Amino acid sequence: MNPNYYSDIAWTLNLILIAVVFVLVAAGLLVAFAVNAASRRRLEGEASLKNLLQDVKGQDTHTLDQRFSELDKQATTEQWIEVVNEHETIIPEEVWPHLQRHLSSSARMAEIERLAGQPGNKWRRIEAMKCIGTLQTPSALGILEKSLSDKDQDVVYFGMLALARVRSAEAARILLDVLKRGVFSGQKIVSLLETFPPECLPEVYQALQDCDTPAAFWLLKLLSKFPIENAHQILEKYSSDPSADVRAAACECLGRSGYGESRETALKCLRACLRDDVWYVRLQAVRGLSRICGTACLPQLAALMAVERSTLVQESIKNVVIGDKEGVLATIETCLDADSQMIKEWHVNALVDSNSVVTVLSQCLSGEPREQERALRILAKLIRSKVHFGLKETLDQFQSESRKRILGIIADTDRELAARLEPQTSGGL
Amino acid sequence: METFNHYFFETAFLFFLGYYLVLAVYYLFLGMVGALVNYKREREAAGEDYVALAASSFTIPVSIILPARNEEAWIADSLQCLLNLNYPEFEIIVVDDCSTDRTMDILKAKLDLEPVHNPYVDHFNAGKIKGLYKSRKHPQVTVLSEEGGKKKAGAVNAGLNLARYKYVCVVDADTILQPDALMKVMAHVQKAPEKIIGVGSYFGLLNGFEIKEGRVVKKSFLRSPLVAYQDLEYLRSFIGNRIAWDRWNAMPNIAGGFGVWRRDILFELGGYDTEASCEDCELTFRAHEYIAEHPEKDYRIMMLPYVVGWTEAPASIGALIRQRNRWHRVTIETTRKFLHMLFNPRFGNFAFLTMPYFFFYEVLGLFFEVGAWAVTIAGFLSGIFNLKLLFGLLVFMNLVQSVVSLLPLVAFQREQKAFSPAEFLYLSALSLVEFFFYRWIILIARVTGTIDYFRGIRVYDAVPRYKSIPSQPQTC
Repeated sequence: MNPNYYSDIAWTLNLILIAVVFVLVAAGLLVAFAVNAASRRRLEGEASLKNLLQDVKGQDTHTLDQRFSELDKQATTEQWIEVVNEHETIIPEEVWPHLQRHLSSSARMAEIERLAGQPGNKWRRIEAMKCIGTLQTPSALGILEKSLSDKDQDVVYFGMLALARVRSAEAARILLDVLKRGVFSGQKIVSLLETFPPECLPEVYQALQDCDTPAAFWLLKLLSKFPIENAHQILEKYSSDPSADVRAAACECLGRSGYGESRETALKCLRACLRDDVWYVRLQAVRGLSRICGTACLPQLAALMAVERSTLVQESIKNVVIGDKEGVLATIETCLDADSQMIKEWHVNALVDSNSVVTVLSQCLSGEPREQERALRILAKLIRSKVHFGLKETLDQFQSESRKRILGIIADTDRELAARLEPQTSGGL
Repeated sequence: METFNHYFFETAFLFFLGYYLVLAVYYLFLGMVGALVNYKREREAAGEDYVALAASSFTIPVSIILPARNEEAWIADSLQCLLNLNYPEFEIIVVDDCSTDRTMDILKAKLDLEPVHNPYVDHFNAGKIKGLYKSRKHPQVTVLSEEGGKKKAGAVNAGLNLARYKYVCVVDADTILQPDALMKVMAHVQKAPEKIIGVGSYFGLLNGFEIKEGRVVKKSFLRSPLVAYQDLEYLRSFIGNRIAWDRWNAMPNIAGGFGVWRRDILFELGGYDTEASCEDCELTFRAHEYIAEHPEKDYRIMMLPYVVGWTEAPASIGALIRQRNRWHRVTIETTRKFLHMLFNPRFGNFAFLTMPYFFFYEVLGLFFEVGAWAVTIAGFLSGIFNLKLLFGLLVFMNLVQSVVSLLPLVAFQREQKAFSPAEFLYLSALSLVEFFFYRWIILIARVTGTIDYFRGIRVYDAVPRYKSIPSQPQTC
């Protein structure tokens, strides 16, 4: 066959493609013009609505209802949905409750609820779902709960977002049920529940009674964001859960719940978790203990220090020591008497990190008599412990006269060390 | 003899026509799927509650890594745009990759740096570091000064060594991010953090834009045809192809300009490959291997259509050819390295949808294209093809090219509403004649890139920066 036969086919294809090009360019241009016109119209609409709503500010309920009814006649359902969904930027704060009440009881609501409940245009439905969630209408919960069983993941997701706008105990229960079913990311669901009022907490406790490991983890993470009361029994149960993640999350909650009746249980569980095999459980236990009893837990933490291998847990304990501005020197003095060289070293580290070496040296020279006595004692222990890093650098900060006097005090305990420190410091090291 | 000639030319003609038809159908299919996905993503973004996301303490924090090598022209603006990000919790790790210009001076002046002696453990063969600094002005910023020699991959790996958060975002130093970039992308991650291991999103070209303190304050897309053609090319690549591939979890490249990765997965993968010429593409391919090795996890690599930022494009033909030469070399290198994935059912859609594109179009396409031209011209000169066929083919190839460009352009315009009518008309008009101008520049770059690859050339040609260099280090 002659290849030129194909030229007819090529030109036929070309005609089709030219038509496609024409349609695409026309569509694109139409969109470009339509976008401009729509955004202009939208801005004008928004401005006139804002003006109107500004006018009605401060008027009585009857007048407001009248104005809203007039507005209702002018606007379409889609426009109302848009206004409600973006009410924070469009509607003045003091007018919003009145509009919310008016819309919830108006005939328009039935239309919006119909849109929110029926399959069809998915994205229109989602907008309507958000709208009824924002308005918190009586039937919103039923419609939104139904949407969570939809086959379409987008409908489920936006159903959750709409439910989060309701912020009631019942809405929390529904969302917690989704969390327990594991159909959506736990992280996402708890981020929605985080915005709910503390009155919804009983629902969380209830959910924690019977749930699997991932759900328990996220529920405990959620709980840690709230003031927790009377949950010690359930937290005690989870503090010995087989999952380390759950135990760590339970410790986090215990640290926040250890007040009143719960205190003893919380302390018992947290002390037990200090011996956990997993480092981040011990970390949360340290944080929890220090949150409940501050530096009073330091003796237990010091015992942990003797065996702790995780630098993060060590740092966490150090933060507890350093965080106690008043008691840091007393704690360190006690620990410098410890038998373990590691504990001594670690506490000297805390002394350096808390910038307390300067305080000790200054107080050795000119503190109040009791302070001076303690400072001299700490310095002597520091020198005898043979763990005196930080001393050399700190001495550099003192004027030569003061430095000489400090070196004299050091020489009283360890003449050799004082001699070693002198040329280095005077040499400006 | 004449019969043989006819037979040969007809067979060759049908072979190449078949190739182009398959390619056109493939492109049009991707373009249409891309348009649908684009529509869906835009609706999702419209419905998302970003205010709640910004306020939540459960929003996943992100470590942003900004590698910079001789970026004195851009570093102040790119850093400022990161500081401007609307996101609840993030840290910024700037890695100065042994710059010899004023990059480090600008960083010092802008951030008020102080040296710190935090522990630094090199997990990825990132190379030696010269210093570690924290910003006094912005506590969330750390600067790491590297000795260099391990390319961009080494610098990103060094940043990875310091990253604290579960997700890392790698950005280029010449990329200006939109303030909502991270929020829009992480909103998707937040839906399924246990599955999403990598996310990319669209970024456009900023040549000719006005930038003030890390923000794009004035845009114009009525720019030189060379840059405008690159606009079309980015749209084809991101909105046309990558977003469609994403539909089947077969997206091959999270671009280096902006990409979010799950840090634990990067650790599992051993970080970026410092030996590879194209670290971003190589990593994405490797991540697909990893996905195939863990089918039970249902991991995903996503591509989103949101405009997350803007980057600088080559503004001269020479610079463009150099850049595309390198891109072509790295494409061949990456395809060759992962050729075992081609049509291998173990790698799922990636093996049947993306790998064939890379192998038959990106690598072998050049030979098909040159072969098609040679046959067509030889057939015409020997009188076997008539003028009508020759023109018919030319117009056909041009129209296919136009439709392939116009589809994502219209989809992008519909959803992102980025262009004014004049800008859209300008880009459309250019797409109608792309075949006669821009395509040849790219063809030259591909030919030279192929030759250079087989000559063993693996150098990285730095793209010249067109932005004026600030005379004084800026402070913020």
